[in-house]
Amino acid sequence: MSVGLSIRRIEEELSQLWEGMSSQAEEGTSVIKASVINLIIFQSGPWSSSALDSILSDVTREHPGRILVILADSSSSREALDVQVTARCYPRVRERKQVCCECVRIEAAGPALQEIPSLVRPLLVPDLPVALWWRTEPLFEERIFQQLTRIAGRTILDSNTMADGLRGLTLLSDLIQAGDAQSAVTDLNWARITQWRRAIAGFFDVPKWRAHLDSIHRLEIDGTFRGGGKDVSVQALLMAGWLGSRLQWKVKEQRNSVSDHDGRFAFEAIREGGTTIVEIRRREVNRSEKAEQGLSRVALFAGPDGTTLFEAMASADRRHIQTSVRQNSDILSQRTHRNLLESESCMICRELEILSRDEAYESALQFVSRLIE
Amino acid sequence: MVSQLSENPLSDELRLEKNPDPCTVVIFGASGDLARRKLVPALYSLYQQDRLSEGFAIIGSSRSGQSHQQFREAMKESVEEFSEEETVDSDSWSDFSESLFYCASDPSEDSTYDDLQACLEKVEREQKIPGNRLFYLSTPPSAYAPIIQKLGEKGLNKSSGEGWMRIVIEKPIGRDLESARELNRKVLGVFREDQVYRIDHYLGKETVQNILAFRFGNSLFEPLWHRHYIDHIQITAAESIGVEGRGGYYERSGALRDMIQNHLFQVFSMIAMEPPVSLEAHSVREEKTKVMRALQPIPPSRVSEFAVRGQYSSGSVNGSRVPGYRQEEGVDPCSKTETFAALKLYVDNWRWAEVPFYLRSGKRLPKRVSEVAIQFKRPPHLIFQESVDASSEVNSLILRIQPEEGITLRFRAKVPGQSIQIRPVNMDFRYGTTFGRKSPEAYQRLLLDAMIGDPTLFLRRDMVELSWAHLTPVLEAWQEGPSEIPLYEAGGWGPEQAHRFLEKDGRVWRSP
Repeated sequence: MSVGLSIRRIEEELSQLWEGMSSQAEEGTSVIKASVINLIIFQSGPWSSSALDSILSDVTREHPGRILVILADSSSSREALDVQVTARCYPRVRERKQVCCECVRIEAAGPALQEIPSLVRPLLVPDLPVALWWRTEPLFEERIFQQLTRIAGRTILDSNTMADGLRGLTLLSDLIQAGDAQSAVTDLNWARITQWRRAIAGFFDVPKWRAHLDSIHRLEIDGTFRGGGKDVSVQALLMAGWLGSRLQWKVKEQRNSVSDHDGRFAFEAIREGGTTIVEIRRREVNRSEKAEQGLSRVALFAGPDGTTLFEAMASADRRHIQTSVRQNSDILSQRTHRNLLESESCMICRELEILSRDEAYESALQFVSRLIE
Repeated sequence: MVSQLSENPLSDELRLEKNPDPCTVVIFGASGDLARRKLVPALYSLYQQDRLSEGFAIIGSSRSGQSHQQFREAMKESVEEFSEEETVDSDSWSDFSESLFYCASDPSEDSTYDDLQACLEKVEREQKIPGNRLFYLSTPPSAYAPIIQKLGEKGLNKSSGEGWMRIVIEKPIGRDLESARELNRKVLGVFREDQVYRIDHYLGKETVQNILAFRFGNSLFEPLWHRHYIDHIQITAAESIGVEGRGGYYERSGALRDMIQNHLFQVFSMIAMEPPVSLEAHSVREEKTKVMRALQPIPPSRVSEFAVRGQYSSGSVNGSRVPGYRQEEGVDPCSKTETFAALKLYVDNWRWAEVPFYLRSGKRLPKRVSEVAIQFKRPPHLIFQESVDASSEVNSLILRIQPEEGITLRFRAKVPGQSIQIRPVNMDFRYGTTFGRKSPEAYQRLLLDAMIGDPTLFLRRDMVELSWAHLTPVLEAWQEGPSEIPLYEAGGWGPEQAHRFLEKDGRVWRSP
């Protein structure tokens, strides 16, 4: 059902929905309204109903609450604002209950977009955390973006949506610096490299190998990416930023970085006891190739003569990350890790479990932004 | 220098949890049920989640002879059947299984422990494990002492380098105070107390851990957690199943030893304890032990005022006819073993004086449920119309441990209408609906903690002995007492004596 622009009306419609569901529930069952979060989803441009439905189903199953979906058409000069209210319910067979969440869908076009924050604020359920998932390219300079990120305690962006990835990372870093202690920002590309980071970190759970951390003199990061652009892979940069920040590397003041036509990017970092050369290589693939996007290899060369190699490589189907430790030509260890190729909704579900700032991400991003300044 | 940090600087952050040191887990009784159904599947799940470090090995050991490969195949079948992972990933299983080894050992055969020593050293050398060892006794309790003795004799309890040694023991830890003390003496003759991890798997349950979060993560409830506001507390662990073919074991145990001495006392201690100063193991365990020391002793001459028991006879459970306990396999037809026990506890301290804690556990009850029901006192003066069954309308807080884990707050509200009529309503929090993510299986958490070296969820020696000490009068009275044990029909909530047990205090058992 559609309603005019009226917060009171929207709340009344939601109440009526609950009453209707309760009365329609089978005898002996009951309806539970569950709320753990306010989730604001902002999408600029079209989003198919089925795709939206699918994501809402997955997310609300794990994080029931009030979902505000904002579908924005900024290209239109015609002012339009429409609101629809629905409830999504999931049967809990064992308990003979339904768990239901609320969804408010706001379609806005033209100048009406600027009114979105004033519509969102009163619709938030009190005392629950607020997360903003900005699904399309962040509009860092736009008022609506700035206001919504201020409303949210945690903002989830995706640097893959940014036309200029490098500039986007700098703007992300600025956004975090400008925010207050309670507001957090994250990037889905950071989530996409979690399995890789876990695999790499695992090497150094072994005390004997931990000793090599101070002698890593070369880091190679390879990735496979579609599309044009000469940007260095954001995932690779974040991987380098993570290692650099955790291992207390400093980007050499006199930067020695090269960015050429095949997306190769190199720099030198100073560490205790020496320097580390970091090389990020990007291989582009055509859309017809089946290769998935993402990191394909991370290799750390350590030891006095580079004799120890800690390597993580994606399997051909990218469903695994194979790690190995080699010393000269001897294989000291090999292991296969699952590389969960999570769907968008799975990633969002994981992100919504995190309510605080992610210090490791912020440090990695800060390292990267100093690097690309 | 980052390399000189004792911890891995790349882990222990929001998304990457701290992993245990490289270590070898030696499972004694590897052919047994616990290893197959719980331990190895839990270790595999941890491996899948990248929670086991690069240097890791499992050595299974039992009396039977088998090769490494045979052991790996057997464990693969177990993992396929019992793992919580939806599928066993063939690539990661292949890697994981290369960390599985087998070495037969028999406490009565000295040489087998020499073989085990050699096997351990070889595995540690090849897998680059720096001598950290976790011995897990997944054996019948009668084997604990001989195995521990052999470990001590052969020096397997001592690391050659800087590695740590730990030992995990499953319940039952003794079957009375004397045997518990004897076992503890034997264990501590070979290992230090800080190396001993006594498991009670209830403590690995998410909802039991949530008791701490609920009580001490909120300021709302603690002021009410007091004799001024609480009338009594009921702690229930009910099972609908019978002994399931384990009559032989149960005959030597009974409900008091099987459930109340360990699981229910643990839950009781978490409900009754004072707030710890921190979440460090020492602080939490100290407060739990302190409240056990404050238990009012049960006078041997008045056991019947503090404890009742029963045994199920044939009846119907979940729509099916079931035999009585004495007709079960392995059970003496004249058995006096209790399949139901209820206990009343008093804590002599300022917080709980005169507040009874009622603990009950039984088999072949109507449903499987474990919960803590905190019943608050009635308002001092009711200005609203009394309903017929006023006793059911007290405020209560229910902490549901299993199934349908969650918390329910029951309070009165006004019924819409012209008159002021009130009725009780429930406000529910359910883990399953609020947190869509599945909780880890208890053994995953406990194994990880044992490998990391966090004893918070394990039992201290004094805790075990205090619980046995408190139950000694009951055990002795029941041993020497009347020849007949009260019977209850399977599918009911226990013997009539259990209902009268509370009725004489002016209370009733909750039907969960």
